[in-house]
Amino acid sequence: MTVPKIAVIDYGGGNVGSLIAALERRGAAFTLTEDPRDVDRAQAAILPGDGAFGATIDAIRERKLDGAIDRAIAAGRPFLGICVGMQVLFDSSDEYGGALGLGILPGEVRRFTGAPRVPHMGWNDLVIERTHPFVDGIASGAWAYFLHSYRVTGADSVVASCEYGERFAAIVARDNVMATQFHPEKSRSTGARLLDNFLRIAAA
Amino acid sequence: MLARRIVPCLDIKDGRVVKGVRFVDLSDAGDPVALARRYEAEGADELVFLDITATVEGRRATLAVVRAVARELTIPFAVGGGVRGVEDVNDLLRAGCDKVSMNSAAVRDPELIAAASRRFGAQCVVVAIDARRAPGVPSGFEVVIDGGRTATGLDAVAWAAECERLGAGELLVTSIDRDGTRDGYDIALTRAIRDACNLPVIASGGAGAIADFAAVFREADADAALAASLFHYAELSIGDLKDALAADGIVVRRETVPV
Repeated sequence: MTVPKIAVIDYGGGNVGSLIAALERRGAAFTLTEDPRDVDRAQAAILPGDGAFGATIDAIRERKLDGAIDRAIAAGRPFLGICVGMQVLFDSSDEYGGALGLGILPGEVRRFTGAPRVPHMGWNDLVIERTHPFVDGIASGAWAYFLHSYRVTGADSVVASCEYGERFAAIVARDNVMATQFHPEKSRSTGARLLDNFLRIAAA
Repeated sequence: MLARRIVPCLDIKDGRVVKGVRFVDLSDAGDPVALARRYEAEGADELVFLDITATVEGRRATLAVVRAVARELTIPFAVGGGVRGVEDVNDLLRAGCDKVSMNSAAVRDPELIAAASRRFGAQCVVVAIDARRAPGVPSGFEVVIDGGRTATGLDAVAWAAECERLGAGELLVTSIDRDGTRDGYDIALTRAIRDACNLPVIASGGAGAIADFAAVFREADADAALAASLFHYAELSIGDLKDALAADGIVVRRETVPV
């Protein structure tokens, strides 16, 4: 088995310590980088995320990482977006006055409206909507830790949903693009399985 | 369905856990990483570290603890205690915690909540409200700061609503009257704050038995319940607590797959 070199995209925003540790525990070969050329060279990429949509997309564009992300995905290389790193793959967000996303997956990021409380915070269970290698071994009822006020609407790429005043997109996947609204590195066994699956897909 | 959370709290000073946590199978009862892992394995939904350090050296030790815990833990954790400004929040988040809790500094300068929320997002901004019963304020609950030493005259329920308006993402509500008593959570306080805002609420102070957790979830609609000594002294295991709550019809997360 070839060990894939994964580019973990560091645009100066998110807290990546837990993700890095999770990759290290799995013996993954990766590089933490903000250089688009590293993303071009890598066999797979992970876009982590924390915080606000607008600041994240601005930081990505400033570093010219948007082009590199487009190229990596167009080339069919496995790509994982996490939290805001998932949200920016979609068309737009209405957070803090609104911003355009990367437009790689169709859908809009909108603040929760019918939810009991915002942020949606804590462990909630997943409903598997369709099969994809990314969710192999994960059944409906698996728990994930959510921590967000905005969610993706109108997506056609939902693999797992979650119920919080409405059904929203918890995991999306289309071909080589995979993404989670929650942090797999903070979601214990569910997250461990997803990271294992992604690394297996990246190594294939 | 969103699960009710069980949250152990660990006090740390100069990089070590204090208040004597007693687990027979741990060789070093003061090691924050070992204890965090132990609670995670037992089924804790997230952890809170309260930094009671007063010195600059101690603060550095705390950041080292946060980095070490972040590398080992696969559940979220919050850190509070001594957070005075946005840079403190930044340092803690960069070190690897998921949420930062602010208390006295937010009362003295409420703009801190707004500034942290704008920069890092509401989801990581926890405001800790220490409250005690006081007939002089409208709700009957007054905010106290500086570890319970300073009365503010501020109405705790009004303050909770103000925290939401300023951009807080969660409230950690501690009853100073009940803290350490094991007489149960202050249901009236928790319920009043629950009804005054739309934020997740962690109830704290007074946990002494399984029935106290059930009561604060059912009667006060708390999203999470925090306890310290009850868990530290292994008087109640989180697994047993969750089994009992689940049998009582309360939704809790129980992991069946070992990590």
